[in-house]
Amino acid sequence: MRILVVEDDAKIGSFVASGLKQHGFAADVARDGDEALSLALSTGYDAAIVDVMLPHLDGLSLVRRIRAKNNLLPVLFLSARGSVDDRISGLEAGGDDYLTKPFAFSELLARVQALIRRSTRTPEATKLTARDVELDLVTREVRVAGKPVELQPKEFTLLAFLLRHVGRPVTKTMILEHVWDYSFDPETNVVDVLVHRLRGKIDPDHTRIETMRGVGYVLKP
Amino acid sequence: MSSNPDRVPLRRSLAVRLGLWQAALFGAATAVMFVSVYVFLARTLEAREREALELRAAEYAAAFENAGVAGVRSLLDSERAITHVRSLLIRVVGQGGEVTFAKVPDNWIEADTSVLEPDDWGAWRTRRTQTIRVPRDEQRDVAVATRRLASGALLQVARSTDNRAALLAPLRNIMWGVGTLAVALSAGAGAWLSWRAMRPVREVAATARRIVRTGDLSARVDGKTREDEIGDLVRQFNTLLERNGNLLQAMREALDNVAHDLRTPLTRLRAGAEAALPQTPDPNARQALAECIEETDRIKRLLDALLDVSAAENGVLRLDREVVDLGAMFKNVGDLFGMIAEEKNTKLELSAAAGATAWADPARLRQVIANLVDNALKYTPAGGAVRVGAETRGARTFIVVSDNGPGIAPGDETKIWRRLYRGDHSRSQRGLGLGLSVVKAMVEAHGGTVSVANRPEGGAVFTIELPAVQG
Repeated sequence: MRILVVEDDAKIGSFVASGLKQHGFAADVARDGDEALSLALSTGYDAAIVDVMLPHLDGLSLVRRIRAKNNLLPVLFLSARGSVDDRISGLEAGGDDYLTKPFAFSELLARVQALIRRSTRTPEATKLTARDVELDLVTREVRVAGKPVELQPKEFTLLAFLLRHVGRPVTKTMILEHVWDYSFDPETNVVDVLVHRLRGKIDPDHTRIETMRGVGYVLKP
Repeated sequence: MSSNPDRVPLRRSLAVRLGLWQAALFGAATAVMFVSVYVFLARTLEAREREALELRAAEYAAAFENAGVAGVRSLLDSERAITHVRSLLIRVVGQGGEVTFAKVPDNWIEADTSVLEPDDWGAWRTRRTQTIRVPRDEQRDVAVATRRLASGALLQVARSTDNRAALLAPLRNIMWGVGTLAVALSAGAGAWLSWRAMRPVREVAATARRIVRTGDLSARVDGKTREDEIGDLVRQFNTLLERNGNLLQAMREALDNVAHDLRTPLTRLRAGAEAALPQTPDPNARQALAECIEETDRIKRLLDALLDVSAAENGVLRLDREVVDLGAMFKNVGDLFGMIAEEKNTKLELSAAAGATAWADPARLRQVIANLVDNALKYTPAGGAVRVGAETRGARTFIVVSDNGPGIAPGDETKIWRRLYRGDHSRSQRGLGLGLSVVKAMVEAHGGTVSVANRPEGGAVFTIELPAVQG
């Protein structure tokens, strides 16, 4: 999997690229829109992460030009402006997703993976497992160490989400968005409450779900 | 859009009023003209009649002076064939009122009523006598010419005139008909012309209304450039919109630039800490890095909220409005907060009256309700209750969030909406202190209001008023 990172800020660009490499991706960083355009059109990338504000050719125009060549490269926009208008113009320009700076790397990674999955139409497994935790999306059965566990709907959704990201941290923001479809942070500790409840049912001895401060929650593989 | 309450009702329409005024003025002018013509015509006819009659009277008087009654008779005999002579009344009245000669036309009735007699003023007065004539048709007038004879007697020639019946009455009828038709046409045409002339003004109002309702700043009045006052109004209005749009655009860009200038260093800060965290073995250093990340996220939330509030207050917040079903919205909010309420052992009840809707951006409205519920839950002690209700009355919807926390301290009712303000009660609670400013800014951006009061039984009650439907 090869990702094109288009970011004029050197520090942010290398942070994203090295993070992607750590997770097994190949990543090229382009520092401006012109460079990115020639790279995108000459190399077969699986996805692109594009900053909206770039010197010379800005991110929106870059993606419009890529799309004009009938190139369906999945694009995740990064924006430091973050007004709703920006989000809409990003999607109108042909972007597939949008993330506001600053962001957690795990969230960026999750979104890029989702884009690639969508573009390659990878069929999703209906049974998710991690160590001795099993979850069946069809029958909605959950087993821990072979014993069935009754979960409330939100707990089930959270567990499935953690299982899909097994071994990788998920942030509170990601959980809020996935479980409750909230794109803003309502300043609640509802995520903590839900994780606490789920732990009580599947992980009473705190060996499966790890809380990493500053990073998020990780379901251990 | 027939139920648009902002529209000017027809009876108040300037076009209709102008049309009616024009019709009234036109009607008055027509009436004056017709009456003048009528009076002039009537007078002229009468004068002609009188002249002719005077001429006859002179002839008969000359005949009488020459040959007495016999002279008149012979003159009449010679004129027997002339039709209009037959219709003349001719008589000679002595000074005592006695009639010495009279010829009465066939269609006159002789009756015992009164006789015409000159008074001292040269006019006529009546006196009872036995032979007088009344025209058979009461509508006719009588024209009389009188000559004083040498003997002192009076010779009178009279004729029943049918001017009014034959000429003036049809004229009057025609004038009535033409006048009424002309006034009606002028009212209709006047209203129509004014309506057309007022079209740009209506478009100005419609455009302003559209901008207020949708925030679409690119809206302009379609100006086929007219050179008159209304064309000028349209052009000036469009110029105003243009400037307003530019100002708002500048404001939006300024906000975007502030956002960009703050987010970029934050991103670098967070990226650095996040990259360093897994490579740092020292637990103290790890703790510091984790705190750095958490604080970055806190600043980000603060920044997001501040930008939202600024955008909303400056009218550059984009609102994608639809008719929001508050029942469904409450269910969604209940989904998020139900668990927190349970943990806090607080009752959370959300119930919207059937059919309660709001004309709002659903994401923003959810943020507003979530902030108020969050606020209420924070201040409500364990065992308390937070109740959220909604009701649509007419074109407005009321959303009420009540709690039984400590209420609002006296004097704080207006301060709580300020950015980052915290009353004494809230110091110990987490949160950014922006929640209520976001609520106020968002609600007002929707054209609504929000207010707070203390409930008599304790606790605070927040009331939001929003438009229920588009309009």
